[in-house]
Amino acid sequence: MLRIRGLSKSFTNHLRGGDTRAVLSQVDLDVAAGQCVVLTGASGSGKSSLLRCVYGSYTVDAGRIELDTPSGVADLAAVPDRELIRIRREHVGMVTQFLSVPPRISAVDLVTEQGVPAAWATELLTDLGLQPELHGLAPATFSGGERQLVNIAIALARPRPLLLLDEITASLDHGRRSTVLSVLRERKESGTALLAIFHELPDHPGLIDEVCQLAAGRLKETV
Amino acid sequence: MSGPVLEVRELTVRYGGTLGCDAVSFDVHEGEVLGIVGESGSGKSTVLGCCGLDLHPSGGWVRLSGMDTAGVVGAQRRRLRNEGIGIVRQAAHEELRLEISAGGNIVERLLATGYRGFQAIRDRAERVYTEVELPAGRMDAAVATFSGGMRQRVQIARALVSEPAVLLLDEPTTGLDVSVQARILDLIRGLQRRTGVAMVVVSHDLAVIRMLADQLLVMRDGRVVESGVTDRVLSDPRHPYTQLLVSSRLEV
Repeated sequence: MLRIRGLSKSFTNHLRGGDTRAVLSQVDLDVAAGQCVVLTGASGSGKSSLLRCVYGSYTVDAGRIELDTPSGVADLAAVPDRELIRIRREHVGMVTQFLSVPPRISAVDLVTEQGVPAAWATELLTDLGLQPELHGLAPATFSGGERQLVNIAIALARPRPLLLLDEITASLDHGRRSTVLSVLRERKESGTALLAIFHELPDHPGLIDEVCQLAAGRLKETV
Repeated sequence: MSGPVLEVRELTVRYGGTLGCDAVSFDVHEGEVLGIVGESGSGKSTVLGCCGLDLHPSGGWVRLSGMDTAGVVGAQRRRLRNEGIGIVRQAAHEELRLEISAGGNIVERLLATGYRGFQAIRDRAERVYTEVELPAGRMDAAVATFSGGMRQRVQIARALVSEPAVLLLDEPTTGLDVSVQARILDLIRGLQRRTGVAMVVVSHDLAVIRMLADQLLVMRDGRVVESGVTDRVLSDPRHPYTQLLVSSRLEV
């Protein structure tokens, strides 16, 4: 599904005299359909940067990020902007810890905006554990955990074959965490590829297939 | 995918000896929102002025739904402007006539695009008036009696009533109270998603751009210094000026 080859990324800060900092060096990584790969490593090791490169939020210095799509292989490191937007809509979802949508629109509307029927949105929010009485309300009034469920629902609304998950359970209590992880496992079992970062490696049977450790922007041995 | 509804190529405007904008190029397709950011004097309003047929390019061209706008003059130009483009400005009085009613301002544009029949026009104006969530019963009140946020809603209704291919927004929420600003942004975002109208949004406010635009141009001294998918430009800015712009943002 996803093949990353020779991926390198650095930042050049022109406000500090053009000082350049490498965050990823020569990363090779594969994620197959129906596989969940988890990235671990100290903070600053490049885990989030790797996800952002795949999603196209960061430009890359070198390397290829090949994604299998029904219309052929797309190199996410080189696709034109318009194509990247289309690929995100159809093929790649990303969830972070931050609500990236206007908090004043109701939860169910935010999900249906993804192009799915309201009944479907309601079912998804219910599966993720958001109480029905909150579906029609705007996330502005929600707790951090409830907001996060909306975030996850938006990314899961369309059946996107690749999901990038950046510490998505950090703000959830134990019960909610387990519900969300179960939904993720179901998606994985039905063929979705997951590339994830967890604050704490979850002990959820059947979810994680492979753990890759990053250190100083380089991939260490696979566990 | 059909062709772009707005095509701008090598657009250059000179004001006497000064350069308004220099070799600016971009495309906007149906359903897309392009943001333009830059400080005052960067040329973003000049670019928008050419798209809105208010200014004539010194070089390059602007095509609207495939039609070159350069040779279009007089009544034909006014017609193209009324039918093809909707404009929402920061200062409502530049686009609206404050002494006439909200409904009158909306109807005026329908008449200008050749709509006929009193009831059909009234129905259509009422529908759009309701869509922009203006208070029922105030449609026949003069715009001068409306608040800043309500005036922006009237502008949006007037701009969209003729179902233009492109909506141009020039600092649409600047100067409004924060809570009003948020509701106007929600309205614009919702209407864009429902109608799929192509939009160009000029703003100095990165939060506005982040919420509305999928693609972004960063302008400085009349030139585009950086462009791309919005979250990429804002999270991985590469040009020194964009880095300054992003780092200058005041986090709330």
